[in-house]
Amino acid sequence: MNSELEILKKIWENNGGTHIHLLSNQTGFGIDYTRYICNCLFKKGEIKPIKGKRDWYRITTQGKKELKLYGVIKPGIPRKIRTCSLRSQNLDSLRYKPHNLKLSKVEKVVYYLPKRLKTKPKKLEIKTAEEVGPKELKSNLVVAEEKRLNWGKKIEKAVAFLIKRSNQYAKK
Amino acid sequence: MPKNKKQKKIISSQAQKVQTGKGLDVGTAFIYCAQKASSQVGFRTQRNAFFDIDYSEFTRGILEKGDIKYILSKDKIYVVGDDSIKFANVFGRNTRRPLKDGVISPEEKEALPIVELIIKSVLGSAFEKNEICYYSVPGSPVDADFDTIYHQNIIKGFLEKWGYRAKPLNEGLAVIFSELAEDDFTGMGISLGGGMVNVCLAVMSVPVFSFSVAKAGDWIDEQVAKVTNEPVSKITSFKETSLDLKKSETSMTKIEQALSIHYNHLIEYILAEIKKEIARNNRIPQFEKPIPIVIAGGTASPSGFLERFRGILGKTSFPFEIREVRLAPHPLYTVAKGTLIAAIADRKK
Repeated sequence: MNSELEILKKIWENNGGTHIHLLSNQTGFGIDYTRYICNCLFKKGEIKPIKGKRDWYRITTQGKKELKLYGVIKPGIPRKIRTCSLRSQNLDSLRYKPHNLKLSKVEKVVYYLPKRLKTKPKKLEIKTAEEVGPKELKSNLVVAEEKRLNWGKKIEKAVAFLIKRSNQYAKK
Repeated sequence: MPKNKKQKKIISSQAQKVQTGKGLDVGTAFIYCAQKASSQVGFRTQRNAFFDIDYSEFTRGILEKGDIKYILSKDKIYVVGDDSIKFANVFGRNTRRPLKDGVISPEEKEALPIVELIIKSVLGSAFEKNEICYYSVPGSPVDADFDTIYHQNIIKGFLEKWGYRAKPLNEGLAVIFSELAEDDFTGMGISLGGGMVNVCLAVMSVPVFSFSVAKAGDWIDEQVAKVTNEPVSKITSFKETSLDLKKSETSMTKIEQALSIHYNHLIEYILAEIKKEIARNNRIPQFEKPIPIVIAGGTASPSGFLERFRGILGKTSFPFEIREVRLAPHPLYTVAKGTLIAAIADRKK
């Protein structure tokens, strides 16, 4: 569940209107981040600021549609049927006055992420970029350019000086 | 005429006579190898950059038709050399570099195999077992938190694997060996490379101090690319091919102006670091004569750089007298030449 959806759901769970601080506490997000997300949701038309109450937001119809779309909330189920099945004392009223049934528009249900299965995790094979070894490369194609200069004498002279100098140090 | 032909034959056969001992300049931007063959010195070069594209037979065919250098892996084609810059410009991306700030890049996974292949293509196989090969290493950086031990040993490992006896040589000292023989190897050598600027002060071939700064050609390219909103590769190719620092500022384009500003800053920064190092070092000898400064490296190659350097040096108070500031002939080959001199001298000892 992404952050927007989580905040939208919290607003809806808090009976339609919530303060940013409460949302922040409930979701664990920072206040600034929560404010940012609320702003995004407002731009999408999924929530609206409550007039006269700063930092208070309420969910819009579009927001509810969004929650339905993602399956966060179920479409309406007759609340009375559900309660009757649980409470036998209300069976009579159900039996005799079926027309009195009021359909609640939506039922608040909380879907949790599936629990992790307690099985031995399969070892992940992470593919890393293969290091290129020199053996894998074909290098015979690389031929260096060559330039020849007539510096032979100069080099011989420099070498002679250098040998002379190093011999002097060796004697010392 | 036949006599001339005979002479030519002798000369060509002498040229074929290869002397053992090689010099290797492992630079951030280029890798050079120098080898002496009689009166000539052969320099083999490879740009130390690559550009990866997805493998397909079709692409490979195109590269082969275009005579473009590439390396093949399982699922990638690495275009190497100067063509990698062309490709990067076409795709609007930057080239990948196996070396960063003068040492093997920790950010590039493929750095080691690629740099190994590039060095091998430049160096070739050893002429004899345990052939001496001097290779350049940067000095300790004064403005960055890393050392060169890992880099130095990785390169050494490569060379020893191919049958060489590898010996490291400071890049700044290599400039001195290359250009200051007639000054008894006394003076200052500055190598302005792609990833680093190496400085060495030597007296009679013995280094007094050597250090490096992690601001150099690549830093200029990156900064200019940022301020002009252009890809780095485009700035690099412009700097290498058409930059003229002699131009008046009014006639400069936006890129040229940005390059000029950053060149000025780099020179000022290097000179300030040299002054700091001299102030920090207690063992600076008293020079009887003013000393020469030799500049080398690709970043020093653009026209007008030497004049710019001289101008800024003239405005700053330097701790000792400078006789001359000169640019090495063929500044790109200077370090390789210096390492070759060290290799031949070592062999002849």
